Amino acid sequence: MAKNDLQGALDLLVLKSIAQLGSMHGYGIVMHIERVSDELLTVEEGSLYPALHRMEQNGWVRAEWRVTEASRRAKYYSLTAAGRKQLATRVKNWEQVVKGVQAIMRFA
Amino acid sequence: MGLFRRIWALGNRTALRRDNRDELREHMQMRIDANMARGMSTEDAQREARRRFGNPVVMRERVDAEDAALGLASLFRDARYAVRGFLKSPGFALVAILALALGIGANTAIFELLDAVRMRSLPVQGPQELAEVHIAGGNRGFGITDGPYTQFTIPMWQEVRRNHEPFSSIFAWRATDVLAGRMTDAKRIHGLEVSGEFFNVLGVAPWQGRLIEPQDEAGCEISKVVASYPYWRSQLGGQPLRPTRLQ
Repeated sequence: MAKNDLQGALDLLVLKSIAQLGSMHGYGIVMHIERVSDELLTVEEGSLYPALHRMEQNGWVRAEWRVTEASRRAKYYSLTAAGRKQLATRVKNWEQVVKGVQAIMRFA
Repeated sequence: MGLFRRIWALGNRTALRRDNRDELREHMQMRIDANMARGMSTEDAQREARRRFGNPVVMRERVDAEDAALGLASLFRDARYAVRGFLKSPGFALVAILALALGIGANTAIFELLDAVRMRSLPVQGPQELAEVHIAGGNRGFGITDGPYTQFTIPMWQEVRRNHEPFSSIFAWRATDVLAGRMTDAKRIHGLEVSGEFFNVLGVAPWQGRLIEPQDEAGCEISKVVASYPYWRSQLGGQPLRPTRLQ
């Protein structure tokens, strides 16, 4: 059975966003998720940063300080090989969850 | 990651915290910039950013807590996990521990043996046959002495040399510092003044040239020298030496 919860969904969103952007800082990730989801999804900073740091400890992302286009210092996150593998598993899990939920919805 | 990152993180806790604070502050600042770009007043922009961000202290603590997973607590957890693993398969654990113990023990034993036999003994022929002759109770300022540690005066040494029966041969030496080199280039080096039999008795072979022999023994002046291998390598350039007069 696919293991998933809200936390898992957040990890998936963040990992996928970083994969799409190549490397990005926390604010950029928040903006990206809002923009791409047409503001249907909002990621709160209060969940994003702990998640990012946990992923860094797990070795899924690596972080480095760089200067933004607006010449601010920001910590940029990018995926590691382990992170890409993790993303693939999460995507597969998510698809199963969606399939499962849809099956339930259709039944009703 | 693992152990080294944990130890590194221990010493860098403050740096990590500062890093997190900077990261969150920059984020807030970017939000404020974006708000102002949308036409908000500075004050509104700040208020909106703060509202979205929530309590910055709580936030910082939560981020720090994620990094604290690098702490020793998780190291301890790992150790407990390992012990539990060993307890689950005691046979494997026993074999592993025995293999390590034997490996380390055997290496230590071999090294100790080698150390005693090869490294500790003097690099001379028959080091176990060497003995030092002292005056029982010391010299007590007897005769003409030229140093606090002098054991024998020259006449006493000459007497011992003539009657060295228990020993197959005998030599005398005196530790002394000598100046080598000309004038201001002179360097103080550790030396031994030795009697002519020194190298013959010890059975030392020269690396190059020849050693001091009984016929080289002269009066008071130092007429012949032998350079030690390390001195030759480090101070004389390690080049083949031509006989020259000692400066």
